[in-house]
Amino acid sequence: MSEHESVADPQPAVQLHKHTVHLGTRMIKWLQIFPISLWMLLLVVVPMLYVFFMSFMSRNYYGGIVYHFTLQNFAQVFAASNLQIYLHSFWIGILTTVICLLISYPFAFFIAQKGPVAKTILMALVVVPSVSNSLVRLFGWLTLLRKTGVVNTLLERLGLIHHPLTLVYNNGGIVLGMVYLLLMFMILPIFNALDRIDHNLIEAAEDLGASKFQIFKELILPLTEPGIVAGCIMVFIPSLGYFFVSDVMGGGTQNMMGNLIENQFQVSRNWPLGCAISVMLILLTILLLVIYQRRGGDMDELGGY
Amino acid sequence: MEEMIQLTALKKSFGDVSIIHDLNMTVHAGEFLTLLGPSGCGKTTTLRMIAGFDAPTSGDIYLAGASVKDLPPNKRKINTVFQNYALFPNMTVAQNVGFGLKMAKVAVDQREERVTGALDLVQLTGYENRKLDQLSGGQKQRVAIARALVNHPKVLLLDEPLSALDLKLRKQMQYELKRLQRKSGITFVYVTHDQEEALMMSDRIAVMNKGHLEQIDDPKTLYEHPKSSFVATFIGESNVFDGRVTRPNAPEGQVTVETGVLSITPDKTLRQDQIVNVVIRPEKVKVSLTPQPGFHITARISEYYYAGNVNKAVLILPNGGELKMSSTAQASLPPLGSQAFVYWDLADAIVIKSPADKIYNVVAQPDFSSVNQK
Amino acid sequence: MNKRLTARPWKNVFIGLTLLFLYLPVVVIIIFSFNTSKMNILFEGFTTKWYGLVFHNYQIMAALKNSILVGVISTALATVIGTTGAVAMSKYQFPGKKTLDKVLYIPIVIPEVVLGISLLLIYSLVGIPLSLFSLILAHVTFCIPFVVLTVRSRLVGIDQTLEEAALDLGANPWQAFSQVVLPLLLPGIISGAGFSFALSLDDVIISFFTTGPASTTFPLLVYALVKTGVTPEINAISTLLMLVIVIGIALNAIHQVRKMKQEG
Repeated sequence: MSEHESVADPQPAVQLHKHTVHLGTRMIKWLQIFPISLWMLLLVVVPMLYVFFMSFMSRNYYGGIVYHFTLQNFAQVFAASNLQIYLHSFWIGILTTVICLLISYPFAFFIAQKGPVAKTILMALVVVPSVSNSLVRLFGWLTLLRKTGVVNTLLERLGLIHHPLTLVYNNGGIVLGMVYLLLMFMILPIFNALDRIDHNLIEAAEDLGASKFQIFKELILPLTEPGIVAGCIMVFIPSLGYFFVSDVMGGGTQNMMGNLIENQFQVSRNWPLGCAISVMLILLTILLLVIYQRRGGDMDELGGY
Repeated sequence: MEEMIQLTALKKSFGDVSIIHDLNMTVHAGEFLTLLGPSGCGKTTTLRMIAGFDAPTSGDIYLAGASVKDLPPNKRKINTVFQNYALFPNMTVAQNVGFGLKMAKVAVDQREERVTGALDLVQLTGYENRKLDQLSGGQKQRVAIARALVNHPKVLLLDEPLSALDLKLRKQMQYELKRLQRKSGITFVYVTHDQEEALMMSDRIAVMNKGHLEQIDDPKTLYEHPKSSFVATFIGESNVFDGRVTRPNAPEGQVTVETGVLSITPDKTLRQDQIVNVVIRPEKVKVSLTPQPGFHITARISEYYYAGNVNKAVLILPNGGELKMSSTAQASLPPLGSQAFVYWDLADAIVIKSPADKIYNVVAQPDFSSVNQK
Repeated sequence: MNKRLTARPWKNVFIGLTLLFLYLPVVVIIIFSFNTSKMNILFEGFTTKWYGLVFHNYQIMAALKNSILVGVISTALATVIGTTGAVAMSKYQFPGKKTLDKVLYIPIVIPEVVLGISLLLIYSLVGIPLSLFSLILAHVTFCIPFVVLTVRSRLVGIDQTLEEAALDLGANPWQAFSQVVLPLLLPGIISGAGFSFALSLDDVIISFFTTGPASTTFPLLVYALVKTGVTPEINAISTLLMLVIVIGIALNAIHQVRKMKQEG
C-alpha cells in the first residue's frame, strides 16, 4: 500500500456545526425513549394509579361510580367472609408453591448435571407444553380426572370402584391446575441458578474435604437461593390471581382472591371494592419484591432470565 | 516537521474526577508515537478523545491543522485498533476488513482489491472467507490491523493491541507493527503500559502520569536523560537517591543523601542546598572492597541473581533501603554478605532538579556511624 | 455442575415422571382429537374428521382469527417498542430511566387480574370500547417488558466497543446499529417476539377483562366451552396449533445444539 499520498495532502476535515450534530443525535435518542416511556406511562402507571384512586370511591345503588371519598371499600375488604377467601387463597397458593418447589428443585438439579446438548433439549421440552393453550391443557386433565373421565371410567369398567372418585372439582383439582400451569416458572429460575454455578467451586469444596451433602448444603443451596425465591414469587403471586383455574378445576364452587376481584367486575359490579382488593394484592406483591430485593434477588430473574 | 495531531490545553473529567489536566502535545506526521504510562494515567482516555469516542471537557484537538473536536468518530480520518480487537462476529474476515470501505461507498471490485492487498500486508493472504472463530488470537489481531489500515487513515490509533497475546507472539507482532508503520508511512499513536515495548517500537515516547505529560522524547533521550524521577523509574530500572546539594561545583559536585555522600558531575546551574534526585541505572553501579574517592556510601551485598547474560545483585543500604545492581556475567564481584563501597562514573549519574514529587527523608546531617563501623 | 455426581437411573426416572406430568394432558388432547365419539370419555375409534370439521366451525375460526390477528399485531408493536426501548436504556442516560426500569417489571410480577382490571378501568374512563383495539393495547402492554428483558440480556453479551469500531471505520450511528449491533441482537429479538406471540396467544385473564363479546379470542372461547364440554374440534385445532409451535421451538433447539457442537 502507498498511503503516503494521503498523508502528504491532508484534506481539510469536514466542519460540521456542533449544534446540528447534537440536535440530530438528541432527536434519535428521544425517538427511541419516547414510545416505550409513553406506553408504560399511559397503560401501566396511569391505570395502576387509577386503581388506587378508585379504591377510595363510592358507588351508587346501580353499581355506578360516585366520585366521593370513602374508606368503606377497605372495611369491606376485611369483612369476615372475605378473610375466609384470602386464607383459602393463601393456603392454595402456599401449597402450590411448595409442591412446585419440591418437584422443580430436584428436576432442575438433575438436568443441570447433564451435558450441554441434553440440557438444551430437556429445557426446551419443559417449555413446549407451556406455549400451548392453558385452558385446553386444563381440559386435558378434566378429560382424565372428572367423574365421567378416562380414569374413573376405566376403573369402573375394571370393577375396581363402584362409584366414581372425586378427583377434580375440589381443592385438590385447583392445586393440580395451579401446579401444572405454574411449574415452569419455578423450574426456569432454579435451573438458571444451578447452571450458573462454576464447576470449579464444587471441585474446590471437594478438595477442601466437603462431602456431597455438605457441598449441597453449604455451597449449592445458598448459591441457588435467589433462584428459589424468584421461583416462589413467580408461582405464589400469580396463583392468587388465576381465577380461571379455580373456576375450571374447582368447578366454580371454590372462591379465591382472583375470583373475588373478577366477581366485582362481572357479577356484582362493585368496581371500588374490586379495586380495593387489587390494591391489597399490589401491596402484597410489592412487599414480597422488597424482601426479595433486600435478599439480593435480581429482578430479571423473575422474568425467567 | 509536519504536525499531524495537535492537542492543546486538553482537559477531560468524568463527573468530578479529572482524568486529563491540561495536556499539550504534538504528533508529527509519519512518526510512531507511544503513549506510555501506568494504568489510570489517562493514556487510553487521550486516545479515545483523538478517535472521537469521548469528547474533551475543554481544549482542542487538531488533525492536520483542522479542529476535529466537534466531529463524530465516523467523520475523522483516523482509525483504531482496539485492545480486544472489536471484530464484528457476524462477518467474515473480508467483510470485517472491507467494512470501512463499504461505509465510504467504495465500489465492490475496488473494495475487494484493497481488502486482498490489506490481508497480504498482514500476511493473511487467502483468509478472506474465514469466520472469526476459526482464527487464532494473533490472526484476529492482524485482521484488526488490516481493517484499520485498509482505509488509508491519516492516523492509526492502537490501544494496547498486543496485550492479549502471549509473549512470543507479542515480540513477533512488535517487529511486524514497526515494519508496517515504516512501510505505510501512516502516523501511529500507540498506547501501552509496557516500557520495553515502547522503547523498542517508538520514534518518540510520551510518558504520562496521573493525567499529565511527564516527558516526550525519543527513547534514547528518555532513557539517558529522564526529566523526572517518575520517568527514570518507569523507563528501565533505576536507583533513586533523594538528596541535598552540599557542593554544587568544582572539583566535582557533591550531594548528601540519607545514607552517605556521593559525587556528581559539576553543574553550574545547581545551587547550594538545592534538593535533587540522583538517579543511577543498575548497570552503572559499581562496587569495591576499598573506599573510592568522592563516594561515601557502603552497602551489604544481600542477594545475587543469575540472569543469563548478566548478574543481578541487591545491596542493602544502612537505612534498610535497597540498591539494585547488574553487571556482566564475567565481572568478579565481592562475596555475598560482604560490606562493599558503592560508586560509579560521575557521567553516569543523572541529577534531576525538580524532585518536588519525591522527597522522603532528606536529612541535614547524615549519620555516618553505621558506615564507619566497618 | 459436577459430572461425577451423575448417571443414576432414578434421576432420569424423576426427570421422566416430571415431563410425563407436563405432557399427560397434552397427550390426552392429541389422542381425543382423533376420537370418533364427540364425548371425551373413552377412545372409541380413530378418525380425522374433526380436523376437517373445525375449519367449518365459524365460532372457532372467528376466535382463532382474532387471536392470531391480535398476536401478530401485538408482537410486532411490542417487539419494535421493546427493542428500541431496551437499546436506548442501555445506551443513554435520561431523566426517569430508573422509574421506567421499575415500571417495566410491573406487568411481569403483578397478578394478571390486577393488570386486567386496571386496563378495563382506564378504558371505561377514557371511553375506549372493548374491542380488538383495546385487546391489542392490553397485549402490547404485557408483551413489551418481556421483549425488553430478552433483548437486554442479549445486549449485555455484545461488546460495546463493536459499535465504536463501526463508527471508527466511518459508519454513521444508524449504520453502526443496523449493520453491527442489530444482526448480533437478532436472536434476542426473535426469541422476545416468539415469547410475546406465545404469551398473547395463550392469554386468558387480561383478555377476559379487555375484550368485548364481538372480539372473543381462542382461549376465551375455550374458557366458555370448558364448562359445557370441549368438543373434539377444539382438540384438533389445539393439536394443530401445538404442532406449529413445537416445530418452531424444535428448529430453535436444533439450531442451538448445532451451534454448541460447532463450538465444541
